[in-house]
Amino acid sequence: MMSEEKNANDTFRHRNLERLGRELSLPARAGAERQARWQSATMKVDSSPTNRGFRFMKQHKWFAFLTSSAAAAIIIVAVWLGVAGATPVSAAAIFDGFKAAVQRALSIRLEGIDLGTVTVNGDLILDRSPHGSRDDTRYAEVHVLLKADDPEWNDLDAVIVIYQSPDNAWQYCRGNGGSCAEEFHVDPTEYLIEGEAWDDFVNEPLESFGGMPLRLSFSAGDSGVTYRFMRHQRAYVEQLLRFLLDISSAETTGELIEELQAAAGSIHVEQKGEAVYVLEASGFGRIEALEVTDVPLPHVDTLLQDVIWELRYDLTARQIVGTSIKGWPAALREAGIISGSGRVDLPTESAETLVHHLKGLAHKVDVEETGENIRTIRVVGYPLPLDTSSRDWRDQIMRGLLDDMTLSIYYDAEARSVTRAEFHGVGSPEGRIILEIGRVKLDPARLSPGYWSGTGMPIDDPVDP
Amino acid sequence: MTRASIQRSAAMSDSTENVTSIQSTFDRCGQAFCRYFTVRTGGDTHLVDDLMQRLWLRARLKCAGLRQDNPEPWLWRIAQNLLRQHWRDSGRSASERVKAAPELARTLARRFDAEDLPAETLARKEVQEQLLLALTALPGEAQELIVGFYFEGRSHAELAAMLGLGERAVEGRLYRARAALRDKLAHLEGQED
Repeated sequence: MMSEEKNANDTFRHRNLERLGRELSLPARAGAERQARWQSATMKVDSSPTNRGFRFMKQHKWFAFLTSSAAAAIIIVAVWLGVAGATPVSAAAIFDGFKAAVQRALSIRLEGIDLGTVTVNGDLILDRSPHGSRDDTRYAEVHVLLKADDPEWNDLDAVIVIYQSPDNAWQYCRGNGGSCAEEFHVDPTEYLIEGEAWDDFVNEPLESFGGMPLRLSFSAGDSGVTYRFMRHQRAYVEQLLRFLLDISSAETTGELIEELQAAAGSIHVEQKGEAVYVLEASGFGRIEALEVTDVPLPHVDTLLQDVIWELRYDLTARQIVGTSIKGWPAALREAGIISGSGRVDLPTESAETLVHHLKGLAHKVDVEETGENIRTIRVVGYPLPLDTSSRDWRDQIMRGLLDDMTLSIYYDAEARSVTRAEFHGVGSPEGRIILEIGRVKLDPARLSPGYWSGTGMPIDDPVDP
Repeated sequence: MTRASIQRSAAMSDSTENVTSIQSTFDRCGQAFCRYFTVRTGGDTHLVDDLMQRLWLRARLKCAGLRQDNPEPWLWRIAQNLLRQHWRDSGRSASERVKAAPELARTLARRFDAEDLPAETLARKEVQEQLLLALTALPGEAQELIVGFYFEGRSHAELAAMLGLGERAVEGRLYRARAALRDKLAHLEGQED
């Protein structure tokens, strides 16, 4: 009976689809040439095992990994240099002390990691419970400061805060943003909170640095501001965090030790006080795990030939009231190259003058009346300038980020324990990652959700350490 | 071979397998993804090609960590996210998009396997939009079967050759594809934001 009913239903579906097939036109199949174009943007694919540690982190255990991994990084550097120590305290002894130390409460501070248009700061605190890791208390507060390019506006401070304790678990995100005159108040916070990209970032804060906005622009009256967090800057921060996570993974540690060995320059242990010894490592060269994926650009001109630049011209105001770019090649976007059309100076005395100018430089120019006094001008093949700031940052800044980085581990010979470790020169001379052993008393106000905002989001799936 | 180098080999082999798997899935389902983007962006070829390239690039960038035998559902999620990101970045208003009309779609789903829909109903723009949204959200194979059989007039034998299946298998899978289309229509709500 049921089968008969199913067959009857299917007969109707079949007949309705037959009618629909006659009634409705579907988009034509893409030809072989077009299909080939979809995959024409090749790249160096990440074949390192970094994603394993990263995936593990995504299972909501990222805090524990971040804290332990920074410690592990320091341990590893110490181990492979261990036997060389000519001082009374060897690198091996410092390693043993550090191994014990990271079993206690600790904190990591990210301080002034300046990438140019962005600065990263933060605190990651772990207070261990004697009753087991399930009862540990964890607190993380990371600030990504997007610098305004207009002094009349404030910088935009994107904040993520995560708190987990046996009794409570919550997380917050927000952007503390700039306004100009109150009369024209603009609050980027609203944009960040409402945008799905921000949601992606909050849900997977380390993976989704790509979800942070590339460029936010606001204007009010005669004033305007742009915040930039370039593609390669985001990728670098993401890689740095993945790198730390992978060091803590049993599967990937050995490989990264080899890489660190190859990357490091000099290392030595020095006595800095009556009972204080410091292991110092410097001269870090290229670390493969920190390389950001690159997209080769063999034929930029070819890639750009089909790009459409659309301008909306107001006949009454005699000015361009809007522009957009269609068909910008994904390969260029992934490479951090965007359109610099905003920098083009165009004659706007009249629509005719504008069109005449465009026709002189473009392959094709179409004009359409799209509203009262509005003409939409579509331009193909105009030699648009390229905004290569992200790619330039990668070539000129990122590749040198490790050159001046040093690592110091402080060891108390009397107490036979490590008290502190620091990475200096991270991103800029002032940039530091500081790891301190021992309990840190958190400001109670910060542990109140109300301190951050009134729109907190409870963690649906609490961490299971 | 050291322990570290063994681990490295395993990781690279793992990654290579993923790349191969992504490549074959993309080749197999490319037309379906293309239709998905085309219907939802009003047929802007440049934009669709851009989205297809981004889908490919993103899949290649992230596939090293993939742990699924069949990466197709994962690729569909990427496609959905790319589309959402496009709407967000372009600042287009919701009124400009082809949107799901859940109530209408549910009504259509009920009628779809209970009566012969009149030609004038099928000719209505809003009805066609809901059917297209449902059809182009189907998994690659189901979409190819329905498109090939009903819209391109291919025979069972031609579809069998195209998809590397037996003719009986094509019949069975077409049956399931029709049912899947009906279900997709009934649950369009919330999928097309």
